[in-house]
Amino acid sequence: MMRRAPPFLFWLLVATPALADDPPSFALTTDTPQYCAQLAKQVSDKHSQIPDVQRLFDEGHDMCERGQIRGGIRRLRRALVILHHHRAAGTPPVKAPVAKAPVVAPK
Amino acid sequence: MIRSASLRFAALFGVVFALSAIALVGFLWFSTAGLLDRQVEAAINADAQGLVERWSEGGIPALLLTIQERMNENVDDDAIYEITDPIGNNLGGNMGRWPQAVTSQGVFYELTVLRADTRSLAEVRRYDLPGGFRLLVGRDVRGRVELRRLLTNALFSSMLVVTGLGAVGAFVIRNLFRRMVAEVSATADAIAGGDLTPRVRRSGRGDEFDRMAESINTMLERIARLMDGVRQVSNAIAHDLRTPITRARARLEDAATHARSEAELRAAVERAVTDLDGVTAVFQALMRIAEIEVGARRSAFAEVDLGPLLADLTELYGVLAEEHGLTLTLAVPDTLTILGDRDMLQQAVANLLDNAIKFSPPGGAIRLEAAVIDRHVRIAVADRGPGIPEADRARAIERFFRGEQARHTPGSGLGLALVQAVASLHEGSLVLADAGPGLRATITLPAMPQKGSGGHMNIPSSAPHPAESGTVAHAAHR
Repeated sequence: MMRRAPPFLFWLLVATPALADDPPSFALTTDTPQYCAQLAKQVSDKHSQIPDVQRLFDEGHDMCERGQIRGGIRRLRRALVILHHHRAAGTPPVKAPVAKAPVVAPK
Repeated sequence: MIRSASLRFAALFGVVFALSAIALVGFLWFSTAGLLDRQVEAAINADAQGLVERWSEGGIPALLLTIQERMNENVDDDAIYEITDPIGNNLGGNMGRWPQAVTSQGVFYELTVLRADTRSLAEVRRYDLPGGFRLLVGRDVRGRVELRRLLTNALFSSMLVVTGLGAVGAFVIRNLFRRMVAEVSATADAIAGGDLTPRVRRSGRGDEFDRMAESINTMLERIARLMDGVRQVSNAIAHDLRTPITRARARLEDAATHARSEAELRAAVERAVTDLDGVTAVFQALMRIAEIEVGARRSAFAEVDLGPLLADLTELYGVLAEEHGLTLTLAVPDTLTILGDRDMLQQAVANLLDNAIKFSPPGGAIRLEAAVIDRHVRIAVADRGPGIPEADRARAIERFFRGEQARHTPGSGLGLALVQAVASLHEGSLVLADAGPGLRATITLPAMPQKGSGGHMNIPSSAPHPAESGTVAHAAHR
């Protein structure tokens, strides 16, 4: 961890090589299977039949199950954004619930 | 090596080239990576401002809800948040705990974070909220770091190329400078050694070096001509003065040995004095020309009306012309004003008239005329004498030059040189031309602007003054 140096000086002194020797890192809690499951539940709770939302939910859910956590999370977030926009535009929600098993962390 | 000018030029070129390259790289960096940095900082600040507004509206619960929403809808997958209470407990966000290194507000920090077991770089900033709550907002900047790495590699590669080009350029400049200076130096050394013939070689490209070589060569040719002139004048002085001095000496010696009476002795002394007066006159003429050429008399310039001046000269020399059986006529406008030295101009025209009378055959006509043409006054003296061969005309104005036809005529060969000097003093010129037959000597001088007229052509309006004819007993100058 360091205070950010002026950009050009930073480029001259450290350029890029040097993340390896940095002090212990913080693991972001938004990169975890638990967070993926939380997002999937949020999408599922909206009961949307919007095709894009459905497709993104399926893809995101499947990727998280396969351990591709960040890719899955990205898709679920897109689904949430679409839902958010539809809600803001006054589109009527939802019909059938999205039936999917909850995501669990890969062992 | 510091005493080497070529090396200094090369070093100067290298420094300027390097500074230019650094400035260019700095500009590129500022326009690319710097722009990305500023965009990230702007995004963090805007994000934080929105969160602070939400906190103002709904307190900590609203703030936590907003952070959760923003994390959930963060399609770019780069948002980083953390919020803690006054005793440091984690209330929300995706970092899990407050990073100890982030201690100050208003400063951007760089942290390493783990993204699915992959190290990444984050840029974060701390915002303190009332009540001891702390908010951290940041962005994952790994993409930017990758881009910066690529940019860095490209800039380093281009710097290597630029350094190589700069070195080659400095080397070329050094060699070019050395070659040019060596050429000039070799020529100067040869001239310093007494040989005035070498000249600086030109490359033929017509560039600045060629123009400098041309200037140096022109200067050298001018110096050589002046040296020749000095040599010729020295020889002429020695030759022309030897005769009257030798004659005077012989007369005095003869009188001392053979004079039979005081009257004969006195007559010999008087003849010797006349010869020596001639010598003195030559020296006075030389000194007068030198004085004119220095230009000191220019300060005494005044408005001169040439009409009356030329009329007076015509009257004076008309008597001498009549004695030679010649006719002297004058054609001059009523007013003909210039800025100049009256005595010098009078002397110059007198010399021309004197020459014309001396070389005209009996019964011939001499014409003195003046006019304003194209804002210049032209004073011309034309005779019907033998003239000057074209090959000799250019040299006729040199000191002590005497043409074939003037060999047996009395004179010093300084008359036209003085006319030329007077013309130059007035920023004018002397031109000798064939009058078919005879010689036409024209002095051209700048005219004074006429009040109420544009200084245009002013042809003589009055009838030529009749002139007298007669015989000349004056010393010849031609």
